[in-house]
Amino acid sequence: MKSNIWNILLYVLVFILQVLICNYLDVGAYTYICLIPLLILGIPLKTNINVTILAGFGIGLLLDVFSGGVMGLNAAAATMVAAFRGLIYDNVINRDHRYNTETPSISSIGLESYLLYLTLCTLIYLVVYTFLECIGARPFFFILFRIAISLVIDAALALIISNSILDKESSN
Amino acid sequence: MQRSRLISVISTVLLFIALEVLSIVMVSKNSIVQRYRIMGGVRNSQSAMWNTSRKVQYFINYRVENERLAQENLKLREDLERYRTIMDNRDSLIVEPLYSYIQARVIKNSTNKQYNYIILNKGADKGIKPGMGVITDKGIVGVVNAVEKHHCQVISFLSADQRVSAKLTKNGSFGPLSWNGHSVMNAVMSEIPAHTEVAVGDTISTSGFSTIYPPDIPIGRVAKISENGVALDLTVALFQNFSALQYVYVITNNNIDEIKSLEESNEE
Repeated sequence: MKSNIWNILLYVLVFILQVLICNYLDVGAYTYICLIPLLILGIPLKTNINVTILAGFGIGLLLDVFSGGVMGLNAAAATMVAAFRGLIYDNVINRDHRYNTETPSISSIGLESYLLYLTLCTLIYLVVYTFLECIGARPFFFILFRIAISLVIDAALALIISNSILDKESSN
Repeated sequence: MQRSRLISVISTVLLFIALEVLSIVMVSKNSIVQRYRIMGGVRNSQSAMWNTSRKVQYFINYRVENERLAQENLKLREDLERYRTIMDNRDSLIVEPLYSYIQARVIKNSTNKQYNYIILNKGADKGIKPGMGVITDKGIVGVVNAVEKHHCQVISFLSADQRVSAKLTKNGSFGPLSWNGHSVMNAVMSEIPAHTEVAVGDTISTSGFSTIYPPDIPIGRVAKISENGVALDLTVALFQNFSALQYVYVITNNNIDEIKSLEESNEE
């Protein structure tokens, strides 16, 4: 019970970190640092899909409210990740693992599988977010370049946070 | 069993589509303003937080000196406007400046999104209204979008849908200027006829063909010239560093009602 509360607190901290990044860290026009996929992947796999989608939408909308910018961008992207993370996990990682692990982590499914899972979910997030933000206003190659750079940075950052804080706690 | 599974799948798909549509509707309304108005409590606490963090920055950056210089600039700008109006109305006895200025401090400024915005510490109580232009001594900043009693929100020039009518200072050739989306220091001026004489280093300023910005406000210098069919695209290095915005001036066009009424009568 205590561990669960501590886990939730850690995810709240990650959300606060995301808000601070959005408000105070200027990383240029080619990068969008997003840790939201990490929060959505933290929702246990056994959770009802409708609840997961609603939670994803809620987290995204909350970030839109606190971070500034256009409302709905993060909500649309987070809803998409929440809807498809189960499919990705079942089809790309391993369907059998779903019943062995509540929340996939490096320690439960291995570094390679977790990195693939995390990268695909982050890619979905970035594709939705970047296209909605830039479509019609920026050239296609700018959008692709932005997604590529953001994906590398976001996946690496999420992996570090997951490995150093979240995974350590769940293994405890 | 199969039927209940089908209903469950359909309900999930419907929920997903409903939430995505809702999100996209919010995006399509570009609802920075919507959030600004609806989330009153959140906004007030955010404003307080941004104000505090900015105050610390100003303390470090010689706040008093900056304030004094900003006031002095405001006075000089008003004097300049007065003299300019006198020059334009030499045959008239009663002269009222066309533009007046309200000095404001930036308390929140985003530069790393495709739609950026700025929060200022002045609002409706100081006479600020939506649609007013915002400038500094180094160029244009944006347009007031939403106003509260003590704060207002400005859509930054660094936004994908912002266009400003600009001209080449040396020959008056004009065209729309917009942010290029890549760097906070560069913008693109387009639709310049290919025969126009232009060189790297030429100055770009506002054309005055709008009710928002006065003419001849310097914006930047031509950094690169590229051909785009029968027109030229000019990459403009902006004078204003948006990452270092501190004090700005909100422009009041004193003839705005008259101009709008003329525009409306033309539309009819």
